[in-house]
Amino acid sequence: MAVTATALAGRQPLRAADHFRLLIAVRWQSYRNSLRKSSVKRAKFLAAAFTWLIAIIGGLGSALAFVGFGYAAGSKGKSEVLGIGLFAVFLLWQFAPILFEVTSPTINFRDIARYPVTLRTYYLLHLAFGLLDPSVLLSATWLLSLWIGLLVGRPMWALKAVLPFLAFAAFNLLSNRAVLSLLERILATRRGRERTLALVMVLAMVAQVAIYGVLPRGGEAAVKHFFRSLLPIWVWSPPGVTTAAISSGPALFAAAIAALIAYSLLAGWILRGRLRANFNGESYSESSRRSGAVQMQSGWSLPLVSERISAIVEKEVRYALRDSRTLLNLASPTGFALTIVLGRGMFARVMTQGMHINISNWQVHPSVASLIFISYLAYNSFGTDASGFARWALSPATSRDVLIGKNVAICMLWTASLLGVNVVLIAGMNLSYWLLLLTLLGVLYGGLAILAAGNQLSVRIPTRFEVGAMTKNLSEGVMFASMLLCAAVGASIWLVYRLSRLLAAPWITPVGIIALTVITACLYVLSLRNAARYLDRNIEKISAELQ
Amino acid sequence: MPDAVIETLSLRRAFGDLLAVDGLDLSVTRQQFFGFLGPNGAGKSTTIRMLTGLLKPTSGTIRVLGRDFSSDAVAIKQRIGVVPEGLALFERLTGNQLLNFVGRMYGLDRDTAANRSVELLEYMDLRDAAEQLVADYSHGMKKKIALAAAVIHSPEILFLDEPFEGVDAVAATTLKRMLQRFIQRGGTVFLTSHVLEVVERLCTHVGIIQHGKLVACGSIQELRAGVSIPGAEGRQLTLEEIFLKVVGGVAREDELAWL
Repeated sequence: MAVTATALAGRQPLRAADHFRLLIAVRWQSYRNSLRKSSVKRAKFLAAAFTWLIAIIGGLGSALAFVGFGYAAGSKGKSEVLGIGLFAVFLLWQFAPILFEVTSPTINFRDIARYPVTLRTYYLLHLAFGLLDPSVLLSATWLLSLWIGLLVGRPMWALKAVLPFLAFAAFNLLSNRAVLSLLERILATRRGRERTLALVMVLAMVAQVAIYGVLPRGGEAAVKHFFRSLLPIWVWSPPGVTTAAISSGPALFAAAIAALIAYSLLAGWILRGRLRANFNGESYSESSRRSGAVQMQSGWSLPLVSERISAIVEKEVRYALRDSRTLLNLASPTGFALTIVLGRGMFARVMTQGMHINISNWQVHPSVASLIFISYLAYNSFGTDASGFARWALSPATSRDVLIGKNVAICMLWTASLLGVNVVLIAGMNLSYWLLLLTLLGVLYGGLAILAAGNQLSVRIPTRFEVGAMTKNLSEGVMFASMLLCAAVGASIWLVYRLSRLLAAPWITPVGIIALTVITACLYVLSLRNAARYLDRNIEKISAELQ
Repeated sequence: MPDAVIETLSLRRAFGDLLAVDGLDLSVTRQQFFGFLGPNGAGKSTTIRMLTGLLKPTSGTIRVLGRDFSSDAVAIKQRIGVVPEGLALFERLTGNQLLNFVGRMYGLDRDTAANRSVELLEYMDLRDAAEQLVADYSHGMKKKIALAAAVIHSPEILFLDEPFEGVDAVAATTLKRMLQRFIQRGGTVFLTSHVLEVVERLCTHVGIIQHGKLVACGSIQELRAGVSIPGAEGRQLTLEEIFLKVVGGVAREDELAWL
């Protein structure tokens, strides 16, 4: 059937630039709409204003530093200084947008492909959008600053740098967008997200243990050897090739430019493959089914608590253990203890340099870390429930039972983490058992304080957070309150300790902490009752916050 | 006097200036299959959320199974099953773990909860997905697991918000059969649905809400008797015709001329 004239009226062909303008408008509108929720409006605005202020000051300051880098490299003819500058640009351009994308997803480009755009326009939009990322703008500013520095310090190098710098920038843009589009594919599935997060976190922990725990054992020579072994990789890396193009003769210049173009083409080709798959409506399959009879599974039955609370504890622990971030936070204190034991105090020495802190007291810190690292589960105990929150309201369980179940679950996780830490410490170092006893008393006191405050904050300022994703797990206000609580608990223990030292009566420390624990236990009971009542009265409000 | 298991009196719920439910008087008796209909935004989900304790009324009273919701909420919740609008599932549990958890939340002992979970997973044709996370289920599978979670503790009343939306024909037949058996054994079903054919086939009684007010209520025969449409004399009106007549407002033919 023919399309009528009325249907075609007002229709105009759109160019890539028009699409891009529309895209920017949508992004701006989404941001403005996100400020509509009155409870978050001011906090978001202040956070954004503060971030922009820091970014502008930091951006201008760092750009000046890069002018200095370029000038120093040019005036002294030191290509390695230029190399360091280019490497910094490369790192920022490649990694910062990934962090930005993972922590604050904005526009899903797969949706853009549904509109009447060609693959070419889609590709160009993707690249243009990539240029607008704040960290990319900063990277480009740094690169320009380096060039300005070169221009002042050695104009000949600056002229020679124009082409390599442009090729380097093109490579960075294409490579970063290619990596992001690959990441988008991996992160599109729940399992992919969880595995990536776990990998990133395990790598971070391994790096910590390696740097502070293992490398120092080999001394300075081992560290030098390690960096020397990285040299061949540096020479062939894009910043290394760009440096070579500027500081060497015409033959190497041509080869370096060819290498940069080859890198860019490779990145562009990978990006095109991913975008074409997106454009053609690639669908992501998640998990496969297992066939066979359903296995009967009896739930947990815990001593001292009712069957109903046991079920709640089981649900909470299962949820926590499915979150790679929580898993890593559970394991990190043990890694911390390992670092202390393996590094023979190196980590402690580095961290306490000039602070007159007795290194042997470092046995306390991993236990405190056990308490703090997963405390977000107590401060925002409904955060992962999302739409499941309504299940609590529908069930005949009382709000008090629900909160107790959640508290028991976090106590179990704390116990597991503390066990890991102290087994490593007992096995690996000459532990003071007196200090261990005081530490555990302090942890009990701190744990009760966290639960008492956590129940209040969980019901009053709930924040939805996604299990297995690198999203914020506490609101800014709760984070601030949790820091204040940590400071208050720490200060009270320190005061008790100082008092015992002043009166030369060591027994004052445990007795004082026990007294604080008893007072906090009473506060916990009161807080539990009050939080349960608040929960009963504010189901709608909390439910809306978690949506 | 029939045994009313759901009663509301002058039920009202306001969201700021918007009156979502306005003076609702409703009575549903035991073994009724009650369909609660209305256009989008009429107040159906708000009503069902108030009847199940997810939302507090601004004013008015709710009595379920002879008890007042404001004072006996826990006792009432023990005897009702709900499939709410958002399904309220803990999606990071497997289907088997979820049913087990819900069963125990309703006071079933561990063995009974485990047995019933397996039976329900089999019945709902979810046996192959029993150990998959609910997060990985399709929409229809989530609906089925939510329904299984609503019945695991043998409730006396089922509140179902759009139970057939997104469910395939085979699953819908299974669900319908299960609901009819539930009614035969003394249960009561209160459901909202946009699929009028399903409501017409299953429901014994229908209530129609518009702009927060109950505009028609009764058995389907009673509704048919109360509505007349010019040109349809001498034949039995469908529920769709009754519904459109009561709520009115089909868009004019000349609108959206450019489409």
